[in-house]
Amino acid sequence: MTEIGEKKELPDVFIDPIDMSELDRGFRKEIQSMPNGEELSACFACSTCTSACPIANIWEIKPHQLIRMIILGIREKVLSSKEIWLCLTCFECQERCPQGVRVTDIFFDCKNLATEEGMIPASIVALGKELIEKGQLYTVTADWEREDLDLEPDVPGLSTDAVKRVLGSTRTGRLVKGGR
Amino acid sequence: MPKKKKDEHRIGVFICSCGTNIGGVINVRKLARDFKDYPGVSFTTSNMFTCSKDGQDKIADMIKEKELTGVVIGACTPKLHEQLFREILEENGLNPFRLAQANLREHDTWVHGDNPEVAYKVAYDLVAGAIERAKTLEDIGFEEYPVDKSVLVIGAGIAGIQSALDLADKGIKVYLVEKYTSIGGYMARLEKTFPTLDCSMCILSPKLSAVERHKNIELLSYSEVIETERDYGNFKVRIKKKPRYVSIDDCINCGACERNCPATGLDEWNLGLGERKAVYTPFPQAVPGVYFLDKESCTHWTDGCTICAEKCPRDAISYDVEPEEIELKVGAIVAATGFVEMDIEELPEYGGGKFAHVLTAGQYGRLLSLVGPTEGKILLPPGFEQSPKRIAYINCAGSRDENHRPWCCNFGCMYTLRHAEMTHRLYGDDIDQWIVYHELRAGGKEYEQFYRRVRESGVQFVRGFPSDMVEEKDGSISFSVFDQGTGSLLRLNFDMVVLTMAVDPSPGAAHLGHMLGVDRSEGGFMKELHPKLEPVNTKSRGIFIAGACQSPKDIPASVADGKAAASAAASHVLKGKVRVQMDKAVVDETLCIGCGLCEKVCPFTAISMTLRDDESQLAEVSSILCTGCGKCQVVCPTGAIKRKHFTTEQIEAEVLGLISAHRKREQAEKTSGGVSS
Amino acid sequence: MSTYSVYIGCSVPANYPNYEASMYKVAELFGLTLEYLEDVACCGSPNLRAMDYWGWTLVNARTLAIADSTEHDIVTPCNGCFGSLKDVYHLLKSDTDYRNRINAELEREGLEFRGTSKPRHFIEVLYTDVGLESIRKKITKPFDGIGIAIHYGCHLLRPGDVTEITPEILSELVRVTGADVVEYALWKQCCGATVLPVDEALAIRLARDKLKSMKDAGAAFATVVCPACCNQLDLQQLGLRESYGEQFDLPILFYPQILGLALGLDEDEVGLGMNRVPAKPILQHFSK
Repeated sequence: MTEIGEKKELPDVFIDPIDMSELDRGFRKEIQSMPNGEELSACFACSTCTSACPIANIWEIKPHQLIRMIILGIREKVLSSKEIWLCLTCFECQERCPQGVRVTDIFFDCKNLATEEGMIPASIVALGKELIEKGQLYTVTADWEREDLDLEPDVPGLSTDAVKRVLGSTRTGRLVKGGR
Repeated sequence: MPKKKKDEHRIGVFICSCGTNIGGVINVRKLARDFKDYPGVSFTTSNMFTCSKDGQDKIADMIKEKELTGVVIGACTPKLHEQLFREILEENGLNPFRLAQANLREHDTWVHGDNPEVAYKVAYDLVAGAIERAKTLEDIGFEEYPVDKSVLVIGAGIAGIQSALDLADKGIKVYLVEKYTSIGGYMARLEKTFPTLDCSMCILSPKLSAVERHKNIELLSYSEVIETERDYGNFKVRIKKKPRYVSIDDCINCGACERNCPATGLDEWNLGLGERKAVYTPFPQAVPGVYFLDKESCTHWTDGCTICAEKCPRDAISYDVEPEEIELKVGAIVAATGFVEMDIEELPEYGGGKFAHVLTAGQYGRLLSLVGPTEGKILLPPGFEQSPKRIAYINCAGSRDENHRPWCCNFGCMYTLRHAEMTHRLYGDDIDQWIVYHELRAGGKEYEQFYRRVRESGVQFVRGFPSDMVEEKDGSISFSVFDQGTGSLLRLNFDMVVLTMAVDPSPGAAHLGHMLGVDRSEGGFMKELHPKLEPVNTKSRGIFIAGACQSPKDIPASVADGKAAASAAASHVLKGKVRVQMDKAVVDETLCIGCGLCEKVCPFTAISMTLRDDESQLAEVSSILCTGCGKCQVVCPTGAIKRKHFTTEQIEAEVLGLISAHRKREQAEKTSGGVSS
Repeated sequence: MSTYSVYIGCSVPANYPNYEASMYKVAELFGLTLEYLEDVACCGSPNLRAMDYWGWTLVNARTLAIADSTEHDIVTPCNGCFGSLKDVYHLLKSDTDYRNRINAELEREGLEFRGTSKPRHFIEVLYTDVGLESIRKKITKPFDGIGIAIHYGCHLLRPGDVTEITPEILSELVRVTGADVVEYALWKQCCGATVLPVDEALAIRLARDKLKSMKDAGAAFATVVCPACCNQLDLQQLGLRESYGEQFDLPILFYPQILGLALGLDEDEVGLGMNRVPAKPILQHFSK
């Protein structure tokens, strides 16, 4: 028995529905104003995207649910979801959408918003770092292979400085600096 | 007509608020006031609804009181009320063509609703243009032509049949043209109809017989309309009667020809399921109820086979029959050309045309027919030996899909339910039935109750669209679908998959629409004059549409349409005459140099070249063929040909009025430092 | 014949010189002049697009603008580069506001995107500009109908309204060499390359399912037109064998290697020895 005056904390049980006031009604417009987001509202919730996705079965939040969440304004949950980063970018969902919603493109938009808010997997930041530091994703390690085939030893035409310069002043640059 | 002097213009300007459509964006009272002192204007006012009784009375009163010479109405599009306003002018002694309308709603306040300042300026300019136009308008008369008490109905499905019967009952002569060998259309292919599951042929065949027996109906089966031409109040129609090779008069329907025929062709009546003989009759109650020989599949012309002619006890078969062309004169035409299922090969993602066990719903319907390829048994094609254990119906196959057919097929949900219910009654739990759907539309009378009955019968409903459909080695079909109800991705396997196909208008609809001067809407369906208020009329006077040629429709809607089109066509021909407005092209003989350019550009062959007394050429316009498109006016090098009511002078007056109003305001803004009007 | 500006990317030259060399040699046989674009930047891959859309469009617009100045179409052998370039090209062609913003940035480098030089995949150039008939005429060593499974790669085919490439292009190109195209259930499925940095297990599983599907359908060889897909299907096979005991022994060849052999190039010219799963067995399958 609990003694009088000694109160316990209420158990942490979430039984309340999402209150309308918690919905971010601007999220939909935000996505629609981003590249390839215009068709978002045409979604009629048929879940073809989910049927078409080769890996939706391992997603806790399915592709069509993400799209519905964007439309309703459950912003935080979408942007913090691990699913958007698991997207194969194979465009099967987008290709099959009967209403022309550019599902994969919209997930790219979400990943950009998530990145802006610091919710980005470290491995992706590492790739950004690679790009900024080396100016390319892959560097030639076995130049003898190239020479065997009469190819120039170095990557032809590729300007590593250009990548460093351009991305240094965009989000990638800020991200990499912040990560240091 | 002598030109009026400037001070003789007495124009009345009526600005409509159209509720908040116009008045919610611009100040209509101010707009009316701003034209008080405009040259040539003797009266201005604004009302809440110019089309209301009050608004009409005001126009009538002012025409008389102010002796108006022209009326300008700033309101909605002339497509809606121009006719009404013209009648008010006419009733009050002013020629109906003395009306100029400024479209303040569609052309202005609906566009610039978010910018009232701009909207006001545009409204002012539009009204100014209309006033200048009104000053140049002339009186235009009418001509009347007789209309024949006869109607051509094209297409003998249920809509066309109903139209023909209703018209014939009113004592009107009806020609009913059907391109197939029998009348009946899609309904004749059905075993039962939703939601009552009454036998389709039991309710249709009395109508087929009635068509055959009605003294006012002349049936032209296996025939096609090849040309139509407007002929004053009537239409001249040329029809090609294709040879049946079996004489309708002599055939006694004994079937000896079919039994002995060695040649076969793909069975089009069964929508490509199985084959039929080259000489055949599509179904027992066919009308005309006689045999028919399909030249395409017959070997007479390739190998000289004459077996059917030899076996015929009545010598009813003859191979030396040529197509016949006949010409009719009718007062009106009803087009009821129906629909077809979208080509299944357009759906490779569902194995369309590739997987043998994927059928269209139309084909499945033929399996259910007691006179179909399997005599009502559900058997797997192409062998038709085994029954499937599991069937999936996939709704919206190609429908509501921006990549295929964006529209809803309207009846697919319901006939899929019908198929599931019929299959359940025949096979019970021996066939496991799944309906993969997205939104189930059951809006008609007692449709929802039918849907409930099918759910109760144990049919599995999965809400989602399938993906990754593959044909397994045993011919069965597997696909994935995300079931929204449980939130699980399912991998399902079926012996047979039935696609509820998207629906297209019949292939001939495009050509026919063009011939009849009927516009087409999305997907090629024929366009009605107004989607709500004139559903069976078209922009072509005397041409009416009924049934699925206008948009996909089920049987009750097609019948209602058929009746409506009959009623509209009857009131057109029973008047006995049409009044034609003479706002057409006219030729000024003194200016015409006979170059013939107008004749070349006229899309309606309304212009022909005649010889004058001095042998020089002169253009002549047929006012009945002329639609007033104005192409001739544009190309005429001397200005001899004028499209009355839209002459170059009248168009220029309107444009100049508009521009000068705009310029004057700009100048005023400059001098007053940019404050708007 | 025609001249093209080649955007080779970084993965092809760094990891797959056999792809680069075979592409050049095949092009040479058809009289196509391939000129490397100079001073161009890495496309950044879908990962850059995910974290920095603006940066991604900017680097790729820069490449497109440089190509514009050459007045030749821009050709790439890599699906990743192709997807990036074509997507950005599509965006800038259809969105005037975005194009103006990008061009304002490019102006600093004295560049302007005009869109006169179209980004194209090398196989589409073979199919459209050279044509199946011309290719057929030059085939000297046709294959004996050996079954080849095609892995198209997602960014080659999709989104279709952007890439404007249909599967038939590559299947026809394979058939013209005398080989047979093996149809398999998972033909559309992704190789898994994109998720490799975030979920290696998933990436391996996708590659494995793909290889299994090809093998089950009876493929003796498979072809790819993307270095990232090749990583997943060729290199990954070694890992699958060592870590999971799954052995497929399915040689993965770049399409220009297959075509090159049929055109009479020898195995060294197309770098056949560099393929991770030994690819030389294909030399046994010339038509007798």
